[in-house]
Amino acid sequence: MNHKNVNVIRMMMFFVNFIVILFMSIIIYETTELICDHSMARDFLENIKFIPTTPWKVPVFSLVLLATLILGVGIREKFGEYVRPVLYLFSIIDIMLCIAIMYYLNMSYKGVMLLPIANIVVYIEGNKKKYMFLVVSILVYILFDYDIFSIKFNLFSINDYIQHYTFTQRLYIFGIRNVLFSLNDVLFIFFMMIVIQNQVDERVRLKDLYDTLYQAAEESKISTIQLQEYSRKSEDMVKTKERNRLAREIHDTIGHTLTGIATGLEACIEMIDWDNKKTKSQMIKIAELSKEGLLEVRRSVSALRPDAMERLSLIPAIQKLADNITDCTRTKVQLHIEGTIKKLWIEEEETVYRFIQEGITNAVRHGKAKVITIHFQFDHSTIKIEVIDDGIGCPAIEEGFGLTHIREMVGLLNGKAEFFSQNGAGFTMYAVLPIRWR
Amino acid sequence: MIIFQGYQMIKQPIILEIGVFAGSYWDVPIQDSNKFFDEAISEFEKMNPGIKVTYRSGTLKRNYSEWLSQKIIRGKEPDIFCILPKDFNTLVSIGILKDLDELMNHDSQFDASKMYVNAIQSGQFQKRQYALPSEIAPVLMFVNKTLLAREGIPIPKGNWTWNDFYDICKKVTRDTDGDGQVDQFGTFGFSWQEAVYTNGQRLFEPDGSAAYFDSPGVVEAVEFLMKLNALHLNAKVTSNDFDAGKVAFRPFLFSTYKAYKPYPYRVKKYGQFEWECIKLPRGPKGNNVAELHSLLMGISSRTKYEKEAWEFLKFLVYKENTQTNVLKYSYGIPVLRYITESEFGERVFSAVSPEETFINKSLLSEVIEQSIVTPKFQKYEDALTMADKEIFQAVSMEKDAGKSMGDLNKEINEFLKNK
Repeated sequence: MNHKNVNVIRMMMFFVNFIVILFMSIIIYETTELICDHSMARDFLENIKFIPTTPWKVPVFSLVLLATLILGVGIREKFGEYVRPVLYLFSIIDIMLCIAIMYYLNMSYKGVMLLPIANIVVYIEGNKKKYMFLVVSILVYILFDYDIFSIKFNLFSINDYIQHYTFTQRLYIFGIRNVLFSLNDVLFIFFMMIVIQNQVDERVRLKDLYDTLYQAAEESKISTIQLQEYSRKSEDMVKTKERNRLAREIHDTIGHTLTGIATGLEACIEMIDWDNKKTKSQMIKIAELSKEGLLEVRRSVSALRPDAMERLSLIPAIQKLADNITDCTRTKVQLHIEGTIKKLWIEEEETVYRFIQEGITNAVRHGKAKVITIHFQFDHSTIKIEVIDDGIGCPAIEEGFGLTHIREMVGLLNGKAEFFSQNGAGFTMYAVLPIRWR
Repeated sequence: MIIFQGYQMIKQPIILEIGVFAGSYWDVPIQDSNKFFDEAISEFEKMNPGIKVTYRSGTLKRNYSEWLSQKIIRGKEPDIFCILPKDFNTLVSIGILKDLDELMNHDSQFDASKMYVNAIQSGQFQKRQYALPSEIAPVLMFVNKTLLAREGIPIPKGNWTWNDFYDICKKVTRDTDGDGQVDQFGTFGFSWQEAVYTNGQRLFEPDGSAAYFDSPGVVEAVEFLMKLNALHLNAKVTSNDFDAGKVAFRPFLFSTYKAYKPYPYRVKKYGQFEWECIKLPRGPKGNNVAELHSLLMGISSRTKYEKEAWEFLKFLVYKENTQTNVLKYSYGIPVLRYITESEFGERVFSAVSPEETFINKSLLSEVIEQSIVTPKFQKYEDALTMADKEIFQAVSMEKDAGKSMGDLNKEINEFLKNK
């Protein structure tokens, strides 16, 4: 709003200057006619110090120059951003235009110089440059004065025209002239007041802004510290997670193989006395199993991924698992599949594989089962898995590391895992997983 | 090149305006006062296609200053204009006259030495050239031969003195018809300036910074004037007395001599007596000459056609044909010395006065060269008017010349100092 006020005052200054030029032009023109009508031209020449400007040139040239000055302001207002690099040039042009106007007004009016000063205040940024331009234009304002110029040069004075009027007429002319001059000065003072007020307001606003900014910076410092703490904690969590994963891998792979080997070897111990041949074949299978276990350990160490899963898709991998158990132990593993087999995402395959692996391991190790039945049921959007054994079961299920891990893995895929057991009637693991279509 | 020619074709002719007045500058009757300019213009336009020269005729000499001044304050002054002597200083001071030094010095065709030095000086203001004269005229002494013959006095020689002048005046100043009133006089119109100049005195510093009205030579001139005046204390001489053949001497411009000497004006104006022109009498410190009068022409400092204006001005003051026309159509003397001294000049001058030999080309050149060019500064005319008034009073009231001139000098110095 204040910026608007500044512009309004500047426009008023332009208007007053327009009136001043018009007024002086009328005086010059009318007096010239008066002098000629009274045949006083020769006497007039005797009393002047220099040839006056041609009467018609005074309004024409000075008003054209003033219009150019206004145009310059218009361009700066409209294309402020684009003309920024040449703002200095504009200010220099302003000053030159005013010098030309003063020249055409026979150096009798210097108030027009306040216009470029106002423009400099508005448009020139940067204190140093602003003051430089202000000093130049103020010097012009001070020095381009009739009384100073007429010391060194012969100049025409507009007063020589005014001297041609009667005393009363002169009073009126000087009166009007001085009112116009004062009006221009007063407008300039107003203009400067508003500019200064704007700057004070701006400063207050800036201070508020600074305070807000300072507060925000303080808060952000605290947040940073909190974030650092959080990041440290989450790093620890990742470490813990990774440790858990490693523990699981060891449990899942080596634990499983070793269980198979131990059970197989127990069978061998029982058989060796009465059936060497069968024992030998059993031992060969155990050896193979142990080799496989070794490979799995190596693989786990390098990639921590199930080997069977890498080479085979889910069903053959599970079949392989079942065959290995059936071959190496006295436990038989049966695999039943219902529904259309679907290709699953790698995370789901892995979870299913681990689920079954855990079920078989538990059944062989703890349940002393003779038969393990695995049911797969592929539905439209889910897969149901059951691992049922006929082992000894347990009175109350204590979920150890393995089962907890399995439940977590299923949970991560939005599935559900359940474990049942009736004492002496085996153990059942049941899981439902949603299938994400591939 | 083609574009340039095309430009030339569509270009409007340059119009040079000149400011002149009707009638003769020398205040003598003239049949066709514009003839000199008309001929110069038509010849100039022929030589410079693309330039037209115009002027407004009809402004009388007495209205010319005001007319020109009005043109100036309206910004419509002619490109080239005539300058009356009383206007020259003012016009230079307000800056309306172009400084011609540049133009003169850069023009290889212009050789100032062909002109009379005095003529050139008459257009100078504080050593700068602001105008050039198109014609000049020195002051001569008009002699009533019939009167002198009647009194048995021979016509004075060319280098006669104040004493000779005074003696003749004293002899002829008398009552001829015995009515107790003096009715025959020695001189009419011999002014204090002529007395000062014939005594070789200067009245001012050239730049107007000081006046020398109290110098012994000036006082001597005023005293001589008083002595002359004392010859006919109770009678006032008028131009009617002169016209009636009752005055022996009267200073005149050469132009008047040239205008009235030939038929028909000699019969009309001074038909009752024989007359001739000789040089002015010289004082103890001076020569037989007074002030040189000149018709000055200048260029407006605001002219759009500086070059063309200079060409035309040069055409007026420096061109052989134009300057020869001064002899044919006007009553002044050409500013080009070689034309004044040419055979044609000789023919013109001897045709003016076939029976006498007082006026001839070498005498004219000599008088012109010795004539005095008055100083040029803005207050010159006013200072002279002040002096004129004081000296007239001093002479007519027979005051002490030394004291009067001392007082006057103080007064004028005061006036010159106050801006």
